[in-house]
Amino acid sequence: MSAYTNKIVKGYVFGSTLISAAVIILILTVLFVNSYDAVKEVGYGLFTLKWNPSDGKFGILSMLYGSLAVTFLSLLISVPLGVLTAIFTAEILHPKYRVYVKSGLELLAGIPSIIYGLIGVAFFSVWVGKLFDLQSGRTIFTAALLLSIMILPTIITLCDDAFHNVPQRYREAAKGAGLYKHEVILRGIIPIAKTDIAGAVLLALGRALGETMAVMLVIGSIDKIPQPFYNFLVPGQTIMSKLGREIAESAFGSLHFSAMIFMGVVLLVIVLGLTVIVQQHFKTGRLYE
Amino acid sequence: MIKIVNKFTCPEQELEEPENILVEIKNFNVWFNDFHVLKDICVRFREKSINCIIGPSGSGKSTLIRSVNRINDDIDGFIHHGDVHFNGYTRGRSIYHKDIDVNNLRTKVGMVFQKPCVFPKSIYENTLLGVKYLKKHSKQEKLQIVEENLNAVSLWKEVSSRLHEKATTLSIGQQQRLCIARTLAVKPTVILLDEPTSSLDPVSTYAIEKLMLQLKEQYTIIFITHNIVQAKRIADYLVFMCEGQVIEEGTKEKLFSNPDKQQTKDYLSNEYCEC
Amino acid sequence: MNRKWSNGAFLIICRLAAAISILTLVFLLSVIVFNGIRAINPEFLLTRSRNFGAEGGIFYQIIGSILLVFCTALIGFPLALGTAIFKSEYLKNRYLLKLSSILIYGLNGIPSIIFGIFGLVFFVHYLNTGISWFVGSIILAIMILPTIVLASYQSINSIPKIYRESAQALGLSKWHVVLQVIIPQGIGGAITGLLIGLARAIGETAPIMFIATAFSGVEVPSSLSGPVTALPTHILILSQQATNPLALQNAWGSSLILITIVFIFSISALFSRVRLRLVSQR
Repeated sequence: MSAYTNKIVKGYVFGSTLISAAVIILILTVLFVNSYDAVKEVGYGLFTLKWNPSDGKFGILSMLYGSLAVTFLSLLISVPLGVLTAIFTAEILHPKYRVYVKSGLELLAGIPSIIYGLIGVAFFSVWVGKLFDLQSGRTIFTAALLLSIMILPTIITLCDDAFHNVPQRYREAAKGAGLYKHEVILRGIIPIAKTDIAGAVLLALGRALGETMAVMLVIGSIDKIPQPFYNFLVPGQTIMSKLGREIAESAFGSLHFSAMIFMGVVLLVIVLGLTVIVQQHFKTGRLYE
Repeated sequence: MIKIVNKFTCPEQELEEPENILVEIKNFNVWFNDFHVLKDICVRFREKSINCIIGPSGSGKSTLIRSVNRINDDIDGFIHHGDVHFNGYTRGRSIYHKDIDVNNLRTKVGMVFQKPCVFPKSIYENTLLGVKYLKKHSKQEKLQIVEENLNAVSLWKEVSSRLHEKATTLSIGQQQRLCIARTLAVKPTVILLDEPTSSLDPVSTYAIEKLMLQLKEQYTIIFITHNIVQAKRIADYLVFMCEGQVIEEGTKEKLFSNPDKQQTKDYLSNEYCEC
Repeated sequence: MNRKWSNGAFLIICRLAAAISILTLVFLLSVIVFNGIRAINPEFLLTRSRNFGAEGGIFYQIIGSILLVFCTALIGFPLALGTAIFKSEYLKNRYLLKLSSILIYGLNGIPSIIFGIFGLVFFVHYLNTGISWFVGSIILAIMILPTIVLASYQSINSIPKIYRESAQALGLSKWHVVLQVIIPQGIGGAITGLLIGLARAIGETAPIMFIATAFSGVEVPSSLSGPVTALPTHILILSQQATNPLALQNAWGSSLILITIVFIFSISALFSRVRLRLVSQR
């Protein structure tokens, strides 16, 4: 009886582990297999600027540029804002409010991205359009602005943890040396917390790169690198928004479909690389993000 | 892997009462990875008496008794060589023989740990934890088992009115007695105690010592302590260990009054030894 | 004097940054709440949508979303708990442990639309399931698997070894130890993980929009196959008709309902985590 039930439990835990592992391998296999056609047929043509399925042109560079530009721009806004806010919550704000701030941030980090998309459509794109006197407010800049707000709670809460993990004795030692508060923070705390902050930024970077819905709704969906390339007040396209818009329209098994999957694989490899680097080298220790 | 090179065999010893040996450990070696913890242990534990293992910390006392109910098996890097015989149970085989059911063995060899470890369940459930899988009991029988065993550790009077409260609400001394009751409920033959009083206050320690003296009427007790005075109070037989080796074993009287080895004498008088 | 001045400036900059962040986030919430409340009334909650969602209510969208995450929990929870127990209690090889961590974190890092595409290729095309809400649940379960596994593993792994040894010393077999010690003490962490995962799953659009949902005209599915309508995809459709004020108003209403459900899950997770911390401190 006992030996039998022992086997059931062992089978259950072993079986579920096998399924979990198989799922990961299956996802990667399915994606790689389906992108193979595009690699074989189009080859280096994948890394060109022109995307026109009816013409047999499948260059993903415009989308890749869009993804990197939107992500870079959004980090440019959210990282300074987030780090400074985290300094406020961790070092200036009275510790008794910390639990409320943290809970609030965790709730905000959980707002579904489609709702950000709706807010982007209803407000941000309109504002950007009016502010810069544009024909359409759906631009790379709008997407980046929206994305920066999306990842802000994550950055604040991770950086707050980073500051909080610096032992109290460093603050006391720095204060004891007669440093002002800003010197304590800039010279004492930040150098110690900087690895964790870097981990937080990389995590946010991964999240921003993979974001689909919010970006898709406000970026304007034009597969072009802007002229000049730093003009962000024009419509663009990211890999994820392209996938969200077009994958359902492409026929399964076609070259078009395969090229779309290839695009997803490129981004997946970047994001997975980031995740593994963060996991191995930074150990931010946060599991739920 | 460790190569086992030595061909050490235990010396045949003259025994005063050879019939009362219950647990016999022969040429027993333990490594954790490549750290040699127990070296050629030869030791015998006598039936229905208190066998005290003494020695400085790090001498392998815990590893030795944890090998008697094979609780070391799950530790990473555990390697053993040699035999542990449990007379009357294993019929001439070592308890490490592949046919031995380790769970069944553990019901015969109970163990109480240094720090009391009660589960976040009620006192009632804690007492029955090991019993309820052995066979089906009616509610009446269960209550009887609980009462009997809590009585055996004189805890029944203190807790009978709150059997269904969490066991974590008990004091540390009560928790340790509950752990002993839980072990007794499984009806073992041997009880291993790994410094059971070291985290307790003097009053609880006294209660446990008194309990040991009662229990030895029915059970074989293997008791680790590094408190020499405690060993002197309750032990029948003493085993003195140092640096993974058994230096000397014998009756309490012999070791305290007339030990064979100088190290034993040093340790028992000064709590200091060089092995 | 100069240092004092820069100290003051620095503190002001920090406060300013915090004010901007907090105001922005408060603005977000209040926009959703104020616009949402205007759309919500009993009729909106209890009737079906009409005219591509611009008119009518969101009753079937709510039902569909709840159905999706309910099955997600049913699929994901046992799988994740088993995996966590295996990783903590049975897996001893150091390299495999490390590999399993990398795989779990990797799965956690996959962007959500990739799951949708995987579901589209593997289930809808390879296995020929067609658009099916159940496939959507499977995909969402895969998506939240790492969250539950990690939370369960953390709480199981933090059970002191002495508990396992004490139970084993009573002659309990491995499976009894799992059942009596590991699961009762690890279940809290697993449930916290599940709640966090569900809060994420119910708001996701990208994984389900190709494989599990239809836009309108669908009621409660009668079998495992067939599409449902869900809140996030409904909001997607409505926000693409943002020029129509009626559609926009319904989008805000749906958003408020969605965010309320998400917050119910995440607040329960917060409480469950706080409770867990209190218990473990004792």
